[in-house]
Amino acid sequence: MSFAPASAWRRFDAWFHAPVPVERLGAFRALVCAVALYDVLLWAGVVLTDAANVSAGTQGRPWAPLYLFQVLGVGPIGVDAARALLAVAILSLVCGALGIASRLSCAVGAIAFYAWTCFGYSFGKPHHDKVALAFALAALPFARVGAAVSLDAVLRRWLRRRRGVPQPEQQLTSGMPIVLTQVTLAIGYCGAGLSKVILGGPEWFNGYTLQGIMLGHDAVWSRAFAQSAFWCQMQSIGVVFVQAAFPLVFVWPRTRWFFLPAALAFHLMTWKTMDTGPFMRVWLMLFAFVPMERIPAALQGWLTGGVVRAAITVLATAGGVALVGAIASEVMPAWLLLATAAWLLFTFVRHVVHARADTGVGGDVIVAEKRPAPLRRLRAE
Amino acid sequence: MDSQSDPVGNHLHASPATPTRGQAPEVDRARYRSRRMEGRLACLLLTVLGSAQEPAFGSVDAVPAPAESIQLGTDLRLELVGGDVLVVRGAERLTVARTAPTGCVHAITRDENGTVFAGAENGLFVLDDRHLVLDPADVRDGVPPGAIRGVFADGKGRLWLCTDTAFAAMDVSFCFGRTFGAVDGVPAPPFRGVCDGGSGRVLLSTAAGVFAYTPDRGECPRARGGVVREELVASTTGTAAVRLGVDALGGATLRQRRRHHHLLEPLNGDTLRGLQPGTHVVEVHAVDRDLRRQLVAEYTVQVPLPLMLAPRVLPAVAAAAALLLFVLAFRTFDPRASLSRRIASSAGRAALLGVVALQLLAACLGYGRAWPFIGFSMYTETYRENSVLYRPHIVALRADGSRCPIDEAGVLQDGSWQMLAETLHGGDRACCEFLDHLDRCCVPGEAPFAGFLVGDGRIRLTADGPVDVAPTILVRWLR
Repeated sequence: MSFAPASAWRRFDAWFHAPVPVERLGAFRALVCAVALYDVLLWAGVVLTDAANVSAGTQGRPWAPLYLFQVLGVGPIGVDAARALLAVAILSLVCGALGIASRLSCAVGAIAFYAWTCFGYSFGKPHHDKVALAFALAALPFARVGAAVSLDAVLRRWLRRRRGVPQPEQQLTSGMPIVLTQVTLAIGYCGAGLSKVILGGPEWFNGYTLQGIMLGHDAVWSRAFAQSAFWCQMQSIGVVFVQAAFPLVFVWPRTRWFFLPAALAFHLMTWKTMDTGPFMRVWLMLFAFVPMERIPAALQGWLTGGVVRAAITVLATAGGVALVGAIASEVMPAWLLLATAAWLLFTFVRHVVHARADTGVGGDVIVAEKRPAPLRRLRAE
Repeated sequence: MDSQSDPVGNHLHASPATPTRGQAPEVDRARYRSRRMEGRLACLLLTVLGSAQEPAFGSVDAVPAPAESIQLGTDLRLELVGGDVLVVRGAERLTVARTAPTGCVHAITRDENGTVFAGAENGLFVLDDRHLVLDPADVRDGVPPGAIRGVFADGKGRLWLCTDTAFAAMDVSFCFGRTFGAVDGVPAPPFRGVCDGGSGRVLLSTAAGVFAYTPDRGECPRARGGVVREELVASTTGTAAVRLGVDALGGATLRQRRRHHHLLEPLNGDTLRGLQPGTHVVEVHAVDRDLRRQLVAEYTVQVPLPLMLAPRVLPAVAAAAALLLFVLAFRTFDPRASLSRRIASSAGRAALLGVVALQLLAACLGYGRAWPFIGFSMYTETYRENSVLYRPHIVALRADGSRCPIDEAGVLQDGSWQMLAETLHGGDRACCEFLDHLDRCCVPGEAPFAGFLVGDGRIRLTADGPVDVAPTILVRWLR
């Protein structure tokens, strides 16, 4: 075998398995499982209705199985099977989010999530809003996702303490699920942008096209934003630029400061102008680009870095939390959301208390370093 | 008589029975032409003989004047004056706004849904009391192009219209039409106008005089031997041959509708077209020259996936590619590592690369049902200046005459028509069920719902901004 393929594989490994702190991967696991749980609950009404129609033998939405189900020969299920599947999905994803038997619960949760989604989509149309979530969830069991931010880790620490074994200082592990999610998001955005250029052609940018798309999917802001063809033309160019150029986040990490907020703004705007829905399952996955273990330190730095910066930080954080809470409250109980918010606040306070000496590093929070820089930096530290 | 339709919806009488699959195509074609000619001659003869006994168009003397004023509301009226349409509101008289030049307006009429149609030099235009803007009407196949000399709505979902050289009927809900030919006994052009002749008659003015046509005589279209219900296997290109024998006044034009879709597409020749991979229920409706419509066939059509996506082929190819990747990864892995580690790591490499490659492949192929490997064809449609947007809407009609727009009513799934289409085509039973469903949206204490209206709202994209124009009313049903 020649040298080139071996070198290419090594680079491939270095890219996909670049080490990340276990806290980042653990936080990512908790996020992915929580978002998957939200999705399962969001689709519960639809899937259970379809299943009830199957059980009752009444005409409902047409069954058009996804390719996966065609290959596996899976048919529609009745309401009892659907309820059982829902219970398995909820239980496994809750365990996954809390980090109980993390890899096993993530594996079971992934299977249940795929089945749940396939049943939902096989009675209708597949959508793009949880593609990245699906790949993220499927990849979790193949990494050490329970090494931190999990009850598994708490239990391990407790056992070590009890046995008198010293706690490890700083652990690194393969960040493959995070990288796969990043790649999936980049393919998604870039593909969506390029398809508009290739399939839509220059006419996609004439202003009338975006005007038509907005008005065709009537939403609260559609009329306001679709009044002017010229303004729509500008928006078309901006939208396609953000989508098609999104992969720049890999080659020029500082552009994440632009592309991540731009992508979030894009989803929120399409929600309000095209009635796409909040697309929260996509934009929460953008946290894959954020070194989440540094968020408490960054927040601390920004909050102590001047009144204006602190005000912006408070407003942005409160706004973000309120937005996620409002969207999630459609299907999730208020006590669960409040408990999650309290836990996040507790994590932050604990960080402040334990790391008073830590000064503002907020400017670096979103910029992922050139791979495999995390390893180098952490070793230097 | 077997019947076909040409691309503009004109009927072709007595086309042959569809050749069965397996016959030599050239023999089929020769037989087809021969039988088509025989059929045409026979039909012409029948028409001539028939017209000798009971002419389709009879000459009349008295001609009522076409409508020149339409009352839209208690204080709102439209007037046709000197080729222009005026909106009269109290003492105020204004020329009606337009989204496109109409030229001289020759005639106006209002259908049973309240939509006003204007026949003008530049074609057919519409407006209603909520959208006082003349806008080009949606017209599909079978409606003659050119200046409309006369137009008349008969209150039965039909519009009768004429140009200088053509006389036609148009379905106001689905916007297709049918142009009468010489075989239908239509008088010689030039035509001057169309108007209500009373007693269900339509009067057609020509240079040679005025002729009355009485539609809806005889039986509705029907399939010989009853409604056909068959299972078909289509080609991978989404076409399936059918054979039907249909009797209809003036010969039948056939139209196809996929279940959960509302439009009636013309069935060209003897082939169902435009079917995507999967299983579809396709209805075939026969339409006679008076646009009376009847279901004549219901096919369950299985459209296989293209060979490269076939459930036996693609997984096999993918497995072979994965195996190749695995071997490559295994052979290039550090040989000093343990066998189990080499296998596990190589499998991981192959899986990761395969997943990314499949994502890229799916992005290029654009086949949506392979979720989570999915293409990106959404929002790639284009619009240009003067394009029309369609937005289905439901309006509940109360017993006291008021209207109540219903937002979704819990019937919308992935697309509005997925559920609404069956209401449009399901007859009284489906409408009754739908109204029962709407009743759940009725606020207690308010007037109960007595019916509903399903319309296809239209927005015209103009250089001055989007303009709401008169919707196409697809069904207006009262209990």
